[in-house]
This record gives sequence, C-alpha cells and structure tokens, in this order.
Amino acid sequence: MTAASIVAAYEEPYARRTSRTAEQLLAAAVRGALGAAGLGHGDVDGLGVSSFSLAPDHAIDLAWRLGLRLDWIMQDPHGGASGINLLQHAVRAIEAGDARVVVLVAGDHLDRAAFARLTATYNRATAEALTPLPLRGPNALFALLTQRHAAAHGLADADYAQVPLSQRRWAARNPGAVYRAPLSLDEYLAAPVVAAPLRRFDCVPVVAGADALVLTAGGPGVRVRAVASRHNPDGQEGDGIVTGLAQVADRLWAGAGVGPGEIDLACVYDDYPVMALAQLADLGCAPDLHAFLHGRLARDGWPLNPSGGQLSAGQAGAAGGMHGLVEAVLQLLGRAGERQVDRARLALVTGYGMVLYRYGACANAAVLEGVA
Amino acid sequence: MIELAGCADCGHPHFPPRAVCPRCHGTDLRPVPCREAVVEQVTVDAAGTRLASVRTATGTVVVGRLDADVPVGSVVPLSAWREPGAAFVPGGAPLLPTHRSPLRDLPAPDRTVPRLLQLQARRYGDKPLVVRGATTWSYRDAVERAARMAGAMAERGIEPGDRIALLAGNRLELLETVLGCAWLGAIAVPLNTALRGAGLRHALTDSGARVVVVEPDLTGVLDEAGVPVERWVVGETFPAPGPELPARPAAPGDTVAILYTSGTTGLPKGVCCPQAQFHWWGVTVGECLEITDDDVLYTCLPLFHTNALNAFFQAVCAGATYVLGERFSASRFWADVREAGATVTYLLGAMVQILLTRPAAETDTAHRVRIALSPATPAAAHAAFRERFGVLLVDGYGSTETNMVLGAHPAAQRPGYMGVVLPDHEVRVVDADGLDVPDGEPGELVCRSRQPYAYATGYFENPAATAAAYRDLWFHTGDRVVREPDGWLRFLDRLTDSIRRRGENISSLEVEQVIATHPAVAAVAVYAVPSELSEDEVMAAVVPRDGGRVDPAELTAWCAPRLARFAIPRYVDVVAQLPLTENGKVRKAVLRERGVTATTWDRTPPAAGAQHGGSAPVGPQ
Repeated sequence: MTAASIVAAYEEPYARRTSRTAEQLLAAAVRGALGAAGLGHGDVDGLGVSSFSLAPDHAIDLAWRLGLRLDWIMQDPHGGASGINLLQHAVRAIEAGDARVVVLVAGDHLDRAAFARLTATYNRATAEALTPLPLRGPNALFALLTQRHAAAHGLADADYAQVPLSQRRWAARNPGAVYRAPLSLDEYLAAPVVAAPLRRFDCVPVVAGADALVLTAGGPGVRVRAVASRHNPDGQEGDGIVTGLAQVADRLWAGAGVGPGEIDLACVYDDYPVMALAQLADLGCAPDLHAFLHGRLARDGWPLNPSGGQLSAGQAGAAGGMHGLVEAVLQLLGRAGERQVDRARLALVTGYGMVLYRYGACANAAVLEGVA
Repeated sequence: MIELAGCADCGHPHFPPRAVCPRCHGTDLRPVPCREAVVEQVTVDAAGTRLASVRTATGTVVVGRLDADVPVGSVVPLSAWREPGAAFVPGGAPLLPTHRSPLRDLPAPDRTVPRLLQLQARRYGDKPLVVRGATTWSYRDAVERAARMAGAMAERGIEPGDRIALLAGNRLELLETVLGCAWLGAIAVPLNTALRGAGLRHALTDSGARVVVVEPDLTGVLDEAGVPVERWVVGETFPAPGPELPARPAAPGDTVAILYTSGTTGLPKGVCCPQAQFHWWGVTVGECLEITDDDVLYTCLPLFHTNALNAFFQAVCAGATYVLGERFSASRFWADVREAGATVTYLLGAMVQILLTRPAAETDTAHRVRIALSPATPAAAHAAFRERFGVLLVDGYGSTETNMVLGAHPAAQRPGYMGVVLPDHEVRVVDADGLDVPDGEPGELVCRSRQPYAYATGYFENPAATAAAYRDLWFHTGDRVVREPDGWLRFLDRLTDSIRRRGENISSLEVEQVIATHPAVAAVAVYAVPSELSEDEVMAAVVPRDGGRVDPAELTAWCAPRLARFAIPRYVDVVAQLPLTENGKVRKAVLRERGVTATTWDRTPPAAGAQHGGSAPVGPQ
C-alpha cells in the first residue's frame, strides 16, 4: 500500500464580484494547485469536484474541458462536508492504487439570483416546508440554533463574538480575505441584526472563488493521519447543537494517535460561530466554551481558522468545504505567508453542512500532519 | 392544524414526512393531526418575518412563522391564522384561494352585466344590493333601475354604442347610468373628477361622448374645458326613470365601459372594458377575499375607478351587499365602516399607513370588518394592521387593463409580496427586449388570461397604443417586479419610477418602505433626480407626522443600517403634503419635475477617504 500525500494547496482569490464562471474559477484553481506541486495537467489521473454552479455540467464535463485523462473520478454535492468527503475517498483511492495524482477542486460563482434559487430549493424539505414561510436562506435557522445553544451553555452575544473577532485578527494577515479591517466588539455589536441574535459578522460574506488540493502517491508533504465522518446522526430529531462529530471523536483521535491538546491549529467549518463552537466541543477541543473563547482565543490568539475562516475570508459556495483544508495544508507546508503559525505540524480540519430541515446533517473531520 | 407523519408500528410522529419512521424504520406512516405547539425560540429575519422553532406535545420540532410577537413558552395554534399570535406552518394553508365563486362556471353567454343582474335578482330578490346614505336598492330594484334608466336614455335618443361620459362623485346616479348603459348597449365613460382643462377636454373628445352626466358642482369645470357636449346635470336635467326596456342582447366581448388611465405620463388612454371583464373581477376578487352572501362590502374609493366599480360586481356575483361611501376620511373611516355593517373593505395607496399613524382609539376594533383588499401593502403593515384593527390585509395585483392576476389564499399572505399567479392567468417577467429574466432579477411584468374577455380589449380608437401594450401578445403592465424562485412576486416600481444610480438599480418602493417606518415620518415618496455625474440621484419627499419634525441628516443616518449604501437618499425635501391622484397614489412626475430646489437638504457625499460614505451626516469641519 502506498501512502497518500497532499503535496500542494491553492486558493483562487475570492472576489465579491467577478465576471468569471464557475468553470473558469475551478480551472484556475486546478492550474494553480498543479503549478504549486510542480506538476502538469498530463500528470493527473484522478479528479474530485464539488460545485453547485457547475451544473448542468458534471465532473466529467470539467475533466473534458480541462483536458484530463482519468482513472478515478468523483463528484460530491455535500456542501460544507464535501472537501473532507472527497479527501477521504481520494486517500483511499491512492492507497488502493486506483490513482496516482489526484486533484480535488471545489468552487462556485453564485450571483444573487442563483444564490437565492439555491437556498430556496436546496432540497425538497426546504422547498416544501421552509421557503413558503417564507424563510430566505439559512440565517434564521441558525439564529434559532444559536439561541438554543446560548441557553444550553449560558453564553451571551459577546461570547460568540470572540469567534469572528479572533478570526478577523488573523484575516488582517491574509491578503485574500474579504474582511481584513480590525473588528472591535463594539463594532460587532453595532452591526445590523440579520436575525436575532445573529448580526452581520456572524454570517459569511458570499463570494466567488475556488480551492484545490493535489494528492500524490508517496512523497513529502502533508499526511492524513486520520479522517472520520458521521452523517445524519440523529435523523434531524435532536437539538441541532451537537454534530455527528461527537459520535466519532474517539475514533478520530485514536486513529490519529494524538489528542485534541496536541493540535497546533484548527480549521473548523465556520458557517456561523455557534457551529464552529459546537464542532470544537464535540471533538473535545473546548471542554469549557467560555474559557476557550476568552482564554485560548481572545487572550492567547490560538490559531482557529487562521485564514480568517469563512466569516472573514468569505464563502465561495462549495469551496467552503475545502477552504479549511487548503489553509491547513498551506500552514503545514510552511507556505502561509504573513499568517504562518510557528512550528505548525498537526492540524485539525472539520466539515459540516447540508441542512436537511432544521440543521446540518453532514459532519466530518481530518487530522493532518506536515511531513518534511 | 398541521399533519405530522405518524408511525403505525411504534407510534412515533415526525415532520416533515420521511420515507420511513426515523425511530423504527416502519413504513406504515399515517397523518397525525396536530393543533398546537409551544414556542421555544423566536427570531425576526432581515425582511421582518418572525420565525420560530416550536415543539408539539409529541416532541416534534417544527419551524414556523409567527404572525405576532408572542413570548417564548407560549402555546400557539398551528395555522389558525385568524387569531393574533397564531403560527403559520407549512402544510396548514393552501397557496391559492380555495373559496369558489358560485358564478365561476357561468356559461360564457351569461357573462354580461345585464345577465348577472337578472340571474342574481331571481335568486336574491328583495335583499339589499346597493346602499348609499339613506337609499337602498334591492337586487330587484337594481334590475328595474337599469331597465328604466335605459328607457329614459332611449327616449332621449341614446343608441347602442353611444358613449355617455360621467363626471360625478360617489353617487347613485353614476351607478344608475353605468347599469343603464349596460342595459341599453351604450358605453359608460366614468371620468376622474379631478380632471381639468386639457385633460378633461382630451377625455371628452377622445371618447366622442354624446352626453356628459355631471354633478352641479362640476359644471364650471365643464365650462372651462369648453367642449360642446350635451349635459345631464344631476338633480336638474338628469332624466327621471323612463319606461322599463328589455335588456339589449350583449356579447361578453362588447365594450360596456371606457375607463381612462390615470395618465401619470402622457395623455390618458381610454381602456375598453368588455362585459365579461366585470364578471371575472367579481369572481376572482370574490374568491381571494372569500366573499359570500353574508358579507357587506364597503368602499369609499372613487366609483369612476376600476377598484370601486369592481367591488360592486363582487357583491353581485356573491349575493352580498355593496355600501358606497362618499370619500376616504381617516378620522371617520372606522365609524363609516361600522355604520355600514361592513365585513369587507378596500384600501389603496397611503390609506393603510394613514390609518396606522392615527392615535389608537376604542373604535379601532368596534366593527365587523374581517378582511380588506389592500394592494401593495408595506410588509411591516400586515401584522400591525391585523393586531390593531383585527383586519386581515390581502394583497394582490390587477389593473384597469387586466383583472386580478396575482394573489394568494388569505391565510398564505406573504408580507411584501403581491402573490402568486392565479389560475386562468399566465405571467412572465421580461427585460426591455421582451426576454425572460431569471427568477430573482427585476423585470417588467407581462401577463395574459386564458379566459375570453377577462382583460380589456384595448385602448379606445388607439390601435397603435393597443398593439404596443400587447406586443408579442402579452399585456405589458409597465410595472417592474421580481419573481422569486418559489413563484411569489414582489412589486418594485412603475418602470417610469425606477432609479438608476451609478450602475445600481434602486427600487423606490424599497427605500420608501424603510423611510416610512421611521417614527417621525407620516408619508414619503422616493424618486429620481438627475445626477451631476451621470444617471440619477435618489431624492425623498417626506411629510412629518402631526406636530413633529423630520431631521434629514438624522433620517439618512437612520437609513444607513437598513438600506444598501447606494440607495440612501442624497436629497431630502420636508414637505407638508405629497401631490396625490384621486386614488391616493403619489404623482411622482410632479415631484421629479420640481426636483432639487434651494430648500432641499443635500447630503453631499463625503470627500475621498471617508470609509462610511453616506452613513452619517457631515457637519462643518
């Protein structure tokens, strides 16, 4: 069995407005990642794609337009969980010898109308039971979940604020982030309410862009020490403030051979602050949320989403599922520029998403290790 | 009530329905009625919709909409929308009207005004049809009035096809003449009483009116217009009832009335309304408002306009009673409504806002009105109006040229939206080239009906205007709308009222709705004025509330967190009143023409370097 190695990561810069199509963004990300790996299109024999706005095209259409000849192909529609889902399968494919050089790419360009269409008809339950209320996108659902979480954990608005505030401090050093200006607690609290208690900076700015990874058989780079997924853990009959990660945390850490205390940085799926905290708690990274928020994050500046996360860098549709992987790989390869975390060796990356009715049903996580 | 999916094997209920029971994987799922739930969390989204997570007695958590501000922990009925504080939950309310007019399936040849009156007189006989002040006409009286008016008109030489203009307020002679014309095959031309000089001259000559029925107060206006036309002055030379004439056979497509458009731009055009159009107005609006023969309809809108005229036919089609008020008065409105015994009423333009801004009074709920037709209701007004007055506002879309094209079930009203496409109509949203725009993008509403003669047949003796309006065989409404992916349509602007500032399209309505919610503002109009750079600047004319004052700098600062930066007005005029049409619509052409004056407040954009351009007033350095 050949070990798989992530040898390059690339993010095609996010933009609030662009005339480029999803296909052009995906193609640019593939080109960028292959360039960083020192490889060419002719070297690739595996492709995994996630994109809402690629439709009606599929992974194979993209492969054709990119001129790729493939032994392995995959497409994943599971939004915030798609990046790690693709990674999980790509690693296995390389280990099994089905592919030798795999490119994983995720990205979208959703204009306002396309975004509204996507959120209104995200799935049948949404179209039938939520959109007619009317519910316009997921903000109100996560506002309800935040209230539930706040009551359960005794947290206040100023506590949740520590997530976007700390990530904004990191984003100042990421030239690709949409929000880079420093954000004070007063500014955070004074921002318009989107759906109480959520304010503007609790919601991701919608952008266009794409992220890509290159995996090869063997070689130096980043190794996937463990990956675990748990989807539809409770049939949408729970409270929604615990994710599937709670059920696989032990398996993940046992597989990685390390504990949550040994992690140097974490890229946690941050569609809303409340869900970033839920995932950290589920994986045992923040046994006391209040202490974590005001101690590790606010006081110590611990690297949670050092790209600024989606809350500051932006959410480019399905690229949100790969954004954290790309940031973690850049950090572990020592290519994170101004925001490079010192001696970064172990990273936790999570994925979360796919609101079936009241909350996200997909969750997965990976522990990555930089191997010089 | 909503229906959960219940498992026949283990008894566990869930929502929304899955393919198998989420607990035991049983496949025998049956509907379980569920009538109430406890509110666990509540939030209000950016559009003002109050959404809640509620838990039923069986533990099922459902996301729903609350129509009132109820505290967490309250028990709310599910979908019982008539009660304040009720939750609307999907599956509970149908989208389209379910009430069915008994005259919907009337055979086509019977879809004429005389046949409707005769049919309903046979059924309702001595029941009151029309009430105006102390006078009441029964259904039978209405037929007799129409037949004898036709007789009187014939005696004076009026022939089928002749146009009879009307220049009068809400009085029975006006209705009597309209019905008499329908009986005789003549054509009634009710004119806006605000018409003067050239406008009046145009309407009289364009319609070729043979006679004008005029009330005494308005004869001077006729003198000024200077069109030599025979006058029947109400109370003087207006004819006494003549011999009863049998109704002249009419086809559903025969023109029965010509209504002149309000003409906010250009010369008014005469809209030819066929007989069947009134039948369909009666049926469709009656279905949207669920009008039955128990209802009393009260309108104080002007009878020369399509809205009040159609309300009469809603009464006829449902066997209800139609009470004609004199004119809208905010201070008298609820007293008039109560005196009429009204259960249904009609609101238009600024009336909703005007009624809401009046101080609360005991008379607010001392009436029987359950529902009101209120096109283009501001989103925030729905809940406020229902809570304060106990009246459900029903939105919709229709025009003199069309019929009721958009609407929704009373229980399914979505604040800020006109409705969905009603049965019998087809709708598209198109760009300037007539191509469909994607859902979510603004475009012009175009429509057509699948029912013959449900719409106007064209503009009177103006084939060029008719062809232009019906290009590609779709009626072009001139209204800019957005259709959401789920089929709901939202009004943005008249095409002529849209604003374009530095590449951004701005809906004047959206800006108006934000400013209107400012506590110091009684009324507002937002419109385009030329920019010294290019395209437009946004300007607002604001009327302060009684005794109050509006500070433009404070007002625009207040807009900052509520509007896109580019949509915040640069210019503000504080005015005592807005120029209105007789129907209460703002005449924006007048405001645009007045433009920026020496007294206009100008939020000159801050110089370069100001990050929050426009979000705060700029003072002297």
